[in-house]
Amino acid sequence: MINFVLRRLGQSAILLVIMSLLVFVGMYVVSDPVAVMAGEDATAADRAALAAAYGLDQPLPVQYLTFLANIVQGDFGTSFVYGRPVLDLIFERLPATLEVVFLAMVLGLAFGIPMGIFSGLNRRKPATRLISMITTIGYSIPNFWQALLFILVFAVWLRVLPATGRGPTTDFLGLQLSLFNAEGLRYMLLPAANLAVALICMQTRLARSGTQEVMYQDYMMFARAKGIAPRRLIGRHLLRNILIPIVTITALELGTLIAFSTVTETVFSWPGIGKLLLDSIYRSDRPVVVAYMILITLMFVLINLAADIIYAVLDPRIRYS
Amino acid sequence: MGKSFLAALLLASCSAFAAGTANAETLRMAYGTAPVSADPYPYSDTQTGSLSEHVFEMLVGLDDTPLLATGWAWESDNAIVFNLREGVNFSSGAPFTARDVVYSMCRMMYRVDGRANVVTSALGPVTDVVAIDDHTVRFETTAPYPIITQKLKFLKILSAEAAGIAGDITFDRDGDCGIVDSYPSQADFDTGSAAIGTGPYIYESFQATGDANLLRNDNYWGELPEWDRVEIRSVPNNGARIAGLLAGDYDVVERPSAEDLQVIERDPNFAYSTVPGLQTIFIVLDTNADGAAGVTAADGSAPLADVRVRQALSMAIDRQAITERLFAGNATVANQFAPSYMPGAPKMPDLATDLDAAKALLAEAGYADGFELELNVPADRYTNGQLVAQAITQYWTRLGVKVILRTEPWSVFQTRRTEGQMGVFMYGWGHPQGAAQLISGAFAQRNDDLGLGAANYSSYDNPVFEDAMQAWAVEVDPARSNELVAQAMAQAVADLPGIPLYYNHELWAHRAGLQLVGGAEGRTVAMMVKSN
Amino acid sequence: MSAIKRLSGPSRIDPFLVPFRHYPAAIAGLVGICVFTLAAILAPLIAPQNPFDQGQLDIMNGLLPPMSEMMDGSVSLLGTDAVGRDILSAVLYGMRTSLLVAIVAVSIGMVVGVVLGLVAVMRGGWVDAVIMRAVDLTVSFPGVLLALMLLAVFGSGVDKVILALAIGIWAQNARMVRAVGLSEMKKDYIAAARIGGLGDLRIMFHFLLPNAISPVLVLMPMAISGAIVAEATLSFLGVGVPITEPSLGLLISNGNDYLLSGRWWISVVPGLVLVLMVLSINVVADRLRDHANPYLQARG
Repeated sequence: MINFVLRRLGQSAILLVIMSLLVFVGMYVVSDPVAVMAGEDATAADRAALAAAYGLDQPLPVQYLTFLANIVQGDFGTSFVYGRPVLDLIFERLPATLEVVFLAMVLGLAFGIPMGIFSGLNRRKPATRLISMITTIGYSIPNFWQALLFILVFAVWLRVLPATGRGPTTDFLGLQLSLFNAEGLRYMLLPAANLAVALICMQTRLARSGTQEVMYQDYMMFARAKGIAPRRLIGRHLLRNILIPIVTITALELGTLIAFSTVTETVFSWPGIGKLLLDSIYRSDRPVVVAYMILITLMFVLINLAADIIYAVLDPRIRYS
Repeated sequence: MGKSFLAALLLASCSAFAAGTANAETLRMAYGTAPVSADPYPYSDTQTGSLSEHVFEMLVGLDDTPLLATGWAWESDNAIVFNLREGVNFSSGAPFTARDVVYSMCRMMYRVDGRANVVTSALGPVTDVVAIDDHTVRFETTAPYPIITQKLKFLKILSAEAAGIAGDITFDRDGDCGIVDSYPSQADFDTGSAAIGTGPYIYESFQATGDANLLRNDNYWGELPEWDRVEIRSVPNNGARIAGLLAGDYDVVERPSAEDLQVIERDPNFAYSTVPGLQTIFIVLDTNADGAAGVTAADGSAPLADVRVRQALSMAIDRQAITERLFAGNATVANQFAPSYMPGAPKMPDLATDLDAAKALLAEAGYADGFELELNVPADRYTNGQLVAQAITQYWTRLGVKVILRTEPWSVFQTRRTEGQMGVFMYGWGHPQGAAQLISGAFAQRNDDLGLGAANYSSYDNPVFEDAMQAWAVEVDPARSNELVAQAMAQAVADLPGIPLYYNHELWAHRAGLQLVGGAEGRTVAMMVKSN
Repeated sequence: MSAIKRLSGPSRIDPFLVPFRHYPAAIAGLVGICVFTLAAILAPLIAPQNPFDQGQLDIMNGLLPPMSEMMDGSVSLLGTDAVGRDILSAVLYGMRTSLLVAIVAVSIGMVVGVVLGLVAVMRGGWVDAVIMRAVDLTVSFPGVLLALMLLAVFGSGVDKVILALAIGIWAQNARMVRAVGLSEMKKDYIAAARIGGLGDLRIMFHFLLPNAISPVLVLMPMAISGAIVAEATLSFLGVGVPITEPSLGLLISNGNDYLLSGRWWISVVPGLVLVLMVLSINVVADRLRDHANPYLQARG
């Protein structure tokens, strides 16, 4: 097990370097920070000075190696746009993303799993068809359009929820969160719901197909034949078994949501890291984009690893050598 | 924030009660672009400017009126003297004096990490700034530099005392002034510790997301604004911003689309305010005789070098249709490269719209079968920019020119433009810096000493135009200066190194019960909002 | 309904249609797919206007509500957008673009993904490691940045969007094929083939491919609908198809600016078409997937 973890981490280190190189080159290809930063009346000397100050006058390989050397020393660089350390920028916005993803996750699990189990157990009921219909439709609407429709319906027509932005925050274990006050929660509801729709659909399907498969396994047949109460059957046998794929895929999905809820954050002007990434890409803020992608890739690596480990814990048959 | 905020609110409401003019209300405004920082120096975008104008003031107001200076006069060809307003205090309590002007000029000229500030380049000709007495300050320049008053509109005055400077400050041109260590960092501004100005508001908080809260500076020297607290939020998505207004999240939103004004007009709970703006939207044409990037003719010639082709391109465009159909009247047809309603601007006759005549001109120039061009447009920069670009594409296609419309995000656009990869591109220019700003920057030959042609991508080189611009650059007499601008403008409009399209209007939508008087420069500030 | 009865039904039914019997929603989806595809293919013939020809468009025809008369006397059934594009025509052509982009991107992604996945299985070792790490990279590389890179270097165009999407798709396929292939490799018949002296290529294409490709094919409709939505999102973010040749996604996102003011047709019509199209594909995809799942099929 330890060997397995170490080998994975080793491979991941190489992955991180390659990812940073790709993003570095990618941003270089997309736009020139000097052209974006320099004012319209900047003289040639101004531009040269600017390039020199940020090391942008160096050849690209030199720029990249300098960047790597700094990272090794724990310095991820300073944002071109904000003139502040990129880690500050990212961690300042991380709580906003985490809390909205958390709420979406809760909504997703709270609706998805019961709906999925119900569908799996009652395959012919009209309610099941309705659920299946809703989840397929939910899957089919582009996220950005759904977000705009949410705003239109709940903020503009019904006027029950705020359209955009983040509400007041309260301090929780040193994090600024809006999850713990009613007004803040109101602001969170639409973006969280927008993320949750896809999650609900996904988890309903996972739970449904899981239920269907598990219910016809021999041990379930046996348990049913033995006369175990349905409540216990679902709670103990069914849930435990369908949770494995749900945990795995949800963990992967969690990473994707944290890293790339860009569309939702953009439409709702939610000041999280997804919006930061998108803004930074568009504004040619290379240090932010590169650092962001390194951190995100690292997070994916860890999530995958954790999922594999949890998988092993949940299913004793799996052993890593 | 909790307690201190409550205290501030209490204090503010008490003073409001005492003054009897204002009510203890919060004004909530939504910006269309996030202000980058509370630091008023490095960033030149409109929203960062809007935000800092609540807190900091300049010698000259954006509308050319005296602000922290009460008047100014040219002492000689190379020196201009400003008389400063007396009885003005910074929010820290320190009195505003000439020393603060010298200090702020030093900071303006100083490049943090090599990065120029808003008008560092523009104020390059300033050789010295001298505090003659507490309320008189003299700017000396290398040569006559008449547009210095235009540039000083962007010098936000900081407090020398707040920065811990005790004695006199000696100006030098690179901004070192021997006080480099005293300059507050951007973080000092963002956390509020250095954000000390003479303006009507002080920062309560600023976040890197572009959200800011402001509290009224009750010791403000001028007329106290009505709102004792201002919340500024950044909502770049147009639809979301207006939806926020309709949902009651905001009192004022800037830059609603012409389309959304229809909703506002129908709903008695909301209203909008508009003022003709300073921004001229135009298309730059690379007139280089060796050809232009992205422009190809069958015979390998350079169509845009021929003035008849440029005129044909201009005549094919129905500007009236653009302003009426795409802007619902919230834009003015352009006939030159500066709004004619701008103070001191020349007034050229209207540009013709005639597709048949345009076709004839094109044929006369030898392009009866048309040619191909790539029209470059920033996707996310100008109001309705993509629609206008498509309209232009329609007109030019009908003229017989094959148009490839290329839209891309601003950063990509800006990079390719700077690298000279664009022969034809759409652009907007409009800071409150006088009527010659556009032509002097975009069409004059590059001359860093005179501040001319910093962004000339048109390869335009006409002796009459050139002479007028060079004379204008050093002309301190306003009347003569205007004449020179008119001469240059007439030449540019005749030669069309670019095609003027329209002047943008500035728009604000707000809830009913507010009165909003915006400036042409399009700043969104709480001071311009009053309740009925 | 027992499986035995189903399988022993009339043999005249096309085997392709077997999964759809008794599933009205899936049949409706199938019909939907046919209608949309046909409309997309025939768009140049049935559309009243060529919305890609800028010379035919006129802003003076802009923002007309449905059933209005245009300047040339023709009637715009579903109204026009701001630059005078007839929405019906734009939607027909947009469907074409959306479908084309999705199908081509998925096909490229599938072929590349399947081949690389199989190579990873056959070769193993460092080849496998390199391919799989490349998969990890592409999966976490932001699509917006990729699309923006292509846009900045090559300009906007349908081909760039296809490339950007295909790069995201190959990785998922490679991963899936590798997983299936690995489990297949452990089976006795492969070992037997090896002993029998069959070469790598032969084993790869004769034994592994048929087994590994079925999950890929089953998921293909899902991948196509996903690609349609992904293209729409890229267009929404301003890095999609050229604005003069709008796809459904770009039409929706342009139309959003007009939703509030009540000009619903500009966004809602392409929006509904896109949702219905994706829905049709998804319903069919679901059915195919359930049908392919032995647990469900046995007790269908």
